[in-house]
Amino acid sequence: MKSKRVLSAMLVMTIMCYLVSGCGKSEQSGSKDGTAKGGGGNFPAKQATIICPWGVGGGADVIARKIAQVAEEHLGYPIIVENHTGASGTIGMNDAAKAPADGYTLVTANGPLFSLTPKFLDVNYELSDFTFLRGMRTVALMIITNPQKTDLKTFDDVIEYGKSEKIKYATSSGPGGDQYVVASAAFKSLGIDAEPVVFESQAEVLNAVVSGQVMMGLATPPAYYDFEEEGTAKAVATFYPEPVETPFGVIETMKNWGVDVEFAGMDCLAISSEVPEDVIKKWEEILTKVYKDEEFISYMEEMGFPVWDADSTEVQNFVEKQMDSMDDYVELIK
Amino acid sequence: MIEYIIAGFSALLTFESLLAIIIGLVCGIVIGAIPGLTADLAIILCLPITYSMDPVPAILLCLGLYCGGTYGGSITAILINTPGTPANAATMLDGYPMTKKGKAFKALTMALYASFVGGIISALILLFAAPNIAKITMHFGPPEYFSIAIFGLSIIASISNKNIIKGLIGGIVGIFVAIIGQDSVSGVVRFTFGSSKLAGGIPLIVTLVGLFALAELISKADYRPNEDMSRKTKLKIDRETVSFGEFKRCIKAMLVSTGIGTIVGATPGTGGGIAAFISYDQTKKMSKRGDEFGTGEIEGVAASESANNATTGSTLIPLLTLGIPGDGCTAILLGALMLQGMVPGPSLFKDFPDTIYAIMVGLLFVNIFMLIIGKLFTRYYVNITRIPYELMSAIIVIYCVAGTFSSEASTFHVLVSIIIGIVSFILRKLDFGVVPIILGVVLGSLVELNFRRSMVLSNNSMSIFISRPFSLIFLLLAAFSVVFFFYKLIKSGKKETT
Amino acid sequence: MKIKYNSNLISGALFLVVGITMRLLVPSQIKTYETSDINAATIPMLLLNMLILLSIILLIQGICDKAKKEVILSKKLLNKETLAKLKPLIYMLMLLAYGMILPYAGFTISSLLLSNGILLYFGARKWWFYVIVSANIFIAYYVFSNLLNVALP
Repeated sequence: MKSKRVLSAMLVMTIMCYLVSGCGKSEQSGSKDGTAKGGGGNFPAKQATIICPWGVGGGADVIARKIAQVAEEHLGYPIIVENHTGASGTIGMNDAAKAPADGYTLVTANGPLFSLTPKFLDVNYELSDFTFLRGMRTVALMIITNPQKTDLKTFDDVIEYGKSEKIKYATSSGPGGDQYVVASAAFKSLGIDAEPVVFESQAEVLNAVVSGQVMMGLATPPAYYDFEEEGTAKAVATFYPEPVETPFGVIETMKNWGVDVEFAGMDCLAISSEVPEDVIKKWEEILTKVYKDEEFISYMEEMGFPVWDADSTEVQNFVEKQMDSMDDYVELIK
Repeated sequence: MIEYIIAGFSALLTFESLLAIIIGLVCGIVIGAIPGLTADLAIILCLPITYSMDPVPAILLCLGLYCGGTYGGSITAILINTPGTPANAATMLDGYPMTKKGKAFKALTMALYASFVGGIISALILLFAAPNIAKITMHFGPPEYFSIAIFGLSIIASISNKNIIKGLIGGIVGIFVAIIGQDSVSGVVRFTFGSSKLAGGIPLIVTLVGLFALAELISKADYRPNEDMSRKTKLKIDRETVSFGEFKRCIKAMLVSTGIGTIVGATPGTGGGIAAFISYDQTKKMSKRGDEFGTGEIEGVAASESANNATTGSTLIPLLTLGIPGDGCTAILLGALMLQGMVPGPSLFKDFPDTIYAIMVGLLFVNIFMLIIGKLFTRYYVNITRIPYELMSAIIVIYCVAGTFSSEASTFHVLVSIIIGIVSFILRKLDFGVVPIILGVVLGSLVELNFRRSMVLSNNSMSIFISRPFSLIFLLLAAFSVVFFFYKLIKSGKKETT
Repeated sequence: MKIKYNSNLISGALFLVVGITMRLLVPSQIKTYETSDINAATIPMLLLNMLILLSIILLIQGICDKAKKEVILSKKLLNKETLAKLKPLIYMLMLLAYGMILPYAGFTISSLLLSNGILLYFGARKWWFYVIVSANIFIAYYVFSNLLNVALP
C-alpha cells in the first residue's frame, strides 16, 4: 500500500521533471535561434539589463536608471538596472564580462575600474573585454574644508596647516580607491603627511566635514553645494584637469600649487566586445536619441550632473590616458 | 510649518496616493512575512514602477513596502520561529513560545498594536522634530557609532543567560561572518580564500536565511507527522485577543522601546534589528516579569515590535535632512528620491516642501492603514500554524532559495546560505544561542569600521570614546547592561544556595 | 570503548581548532597595504585571540563539569533509535545536494526534487501535498521571472 503511494508520487515527480526540462529546453533553443540568426538581425527581441556595479542611489546608478527609463521607448523592450555590488565594483564588472555577448547586457563603468582597481584586487576582466558605448557624466573631485569651524579657507591654508600637523581627510574610498590614490599622491608631492578617514558614502563625508569632525574631505559637485551656501563647506581646490566653474566661483586645479596630479572622474556605458557590430550600432543610435531627449536633458540639469556625451573612442582614449597616470601615482605613493 | 502640513495633506489625499499606500502595505506584509524576502528587495524591484509615478505616491509605495515589511516579518517570527526580515529576530524570542502555548492570535495582535504604536509615534517625531533630531545626530561621528554598536553587543551578556562564554563565542563568530569580503576602509579582501564571489561579503539576507530559516528547518527535521498528537485532535487555536489589562501592561514597554527605536533608527548604519534587541533587553530589565521573558511573555513581543517599527520613521530623519540612509531600506529609498529629481539634504525641505510634508504625513497614514489591514487579516494568517509541517517545510525551502538567489543573482550564495544553515544547526545542538551570532553579524562591521575611523581621528588614542559626551553615554549604558547582568547572576546564585 | 562528553567540551575543542587555524591563516588571508598600526588585520587578530582564550575557558568548564553524557561505542549503537536521531542528517544532505546541483539543473528541476524529496522524507501520504508544493515552485518561478524580473537560474 505504502510503496504504491511512493511509486505514484515518484511518477508524478518524473512527469513534472520531464515537463519542466522540456519547457526549459524549448526556451533555450528559442534564444539560441535568436542569436544565431545573423548576430543583430532581429535585435532587439527581449528585455535588456544594465549592470550597475555600485549601489542604488549613487550617481552612476541614478543616471543609468534614467537612461534605462528613456531608452525603453526606443528599444521597445524593458531595460532593467541590476546592482551587482561589492569589491569596489569588480563583482559587477566580472558579471558583465561573463554575461552572454548577445547585446542584452550593458554595464556602467568608470575609469578606475580599469586603471586602478586591478592593481589591488584580482579581477577577471580587462579593458579589451569591453567596448565603450557612450560617456555618461564627468565628475570633478574637490577638496572641501569647513570655513566656519576651521581656519582653512583656501588651499594655501591647507598646505600651511599640513606643514605642522598631520592632515586627516574624509573620503569615501580608501587605499585602492581613486580618491585615496590621487589625494595621497598630491599630498605626498607637497611633502605633507596625510591620512584618510574612510566613510561609506559622500553624504557621510560631507556630514563629517560640516559637523567639524574632520578638517577636510573629498567630495564632488553638486553634493556639497547646499553646505557651501550655508557657509559650512567650501571647495578650495580640485583634482580636475581644468579649473571648475561652480556657483560659488572658479575652483583652481592642483597645478596652481605646482602639484602634477590630476584626476577626472567619469561614468560611462560599456558592452562586451564580442557583441556583433550592428548590435553595438543599434545601442549607439538608441543612446543618441536618449541624449537628445528633453526629459533626460532636463533631469540631468536639475540634478546638477554634467552630461558627458563622449563617443566610444573618446571614452577609450580617456581610460587609456588615465591608466598611464594612475601607474605614476601608485608608484609615487608606494 | 502648519501650512506645509495642510498642503501636504491635500497633496496626499488623492486616489493614487492612497492606493499606493495600500498596495505597498499588502505587498510589504506578504513579502516581509516570507523568510528570504525582505522589504529591501521589494523596494528595489518596485523602483522601475515608481519612475513613471508622481513623487508622492511613488515614495509612499516604497514606504508602504518598508513599514509593511517590517511588520510582516513578525508574522513568521511568531508563527514558525523564523523571522521574515532581520528586524524581527527579537520578536521570535517571545512570540514563538506564545504560539507554542496556543496564544498565536494574541501574539500576532500584540505585534500589530506594538508595530502601530512604534510606527505612528516615530512618524509624528519625524513630522515635528526631524530638524532638531538631525541637529543632534549630525554630530554623531565614528566614536558615537562605535559606542552604540558596543551597547548593542553588550546585550549578548543578558541574552546568553545559559553560558556567557558561549554567547561571546557566538558574537565573535557573527562578527567574523561580517568581516568576510572586502574591507571598505583599506580595500583589501579578507578571508575569501581566493573566491571572487566572496569578495563582496556575505549579504545579510543570505546569513539570515541560513542562520534562522534553514537551521530551523533542519532542527525540525526529526518531526514525525504520525506521532503529532495535536494533528489528530484538530488543534484549536485560541482566539483570545489582547486584553485591556495586557495592553496597559505593555504601554510602558512600548513607549520605552519606541524611544530606543527612534534614537537607534536615526543613527546611520544600524537598523530595526538592533533597535529591537536593545529594547527587548532594556524592557526585560525594567519589567516586573523580566524573568519570564523568553518563555512567551507578551511584553517581549510588544517591546521588539514597537522598536523595529519605530525605526521606520526615524531612519528617514538622517535620510531627508542629510542624505545619509539609516539602514539598507532607506538607502534604496534614497535612490527612489533621486530618481524623482529630489536630492536629499538641507535644501530638500526648502525646494520641495509640499512633497516632503506629504510624504511625512503619508507615513502616518501608512501606519493607520497598517493597523486596519493587519486587524482584518490576522485571523486568517494565524491559520498558517494549521498547515501540516511537512508541507510547510517543503514550501519554505523554495522561497528561502528564491529569496537568497534574487538578492545577489548567484547560486553560490544559495550554497553559502545552506552551509551557514548547517553550521548554525550544529551550533544550536551544542547549546549556542543564535541571537549573539546575529548581533555579531549585524554590528560587526559597524564596530570595526568606526573603531578604525576613530583611531585615525584620535591618533590611536582610546580617550576619544570617553571624551565625547554621547559616546560616553552609550558606553556607560553598555557597562551598566553588563554589570546588571552579573549583579542578577550573583543574586540568583545566592537564592539558589540559601 | 566509553566516551564521556558534554557540549562545552565539544564546542571548546571545536572552536579552539577553528580559532588556531584561522589565526594561522590571517597573514595569507589578509594582505593589507596599510602601514598604520591599526589596519585591516587588527580586529580579526584581536577577535581570534579572544576566541582562542574563550574556547580554552569553555574546554576547562567542560572538563570540570561533572554532568557528562556517556556513550559506549559498540554495535548496540546501531539500533533503530540512534539511527532515527541521525535522520536530520539526511535533511542536511538533501539541502547540500540541492545547493550543489542548483547551478547545473536550474531552479525548477532542483527545487522540484528537493521539495518533493522533503515530503517523501517526512512520509507525506496525501498526493495533493505533492501537487501544492510543486505548484508553488512554478508560481515562485513565474512571479520571480515575469513579475519581478529576477531571472532564476
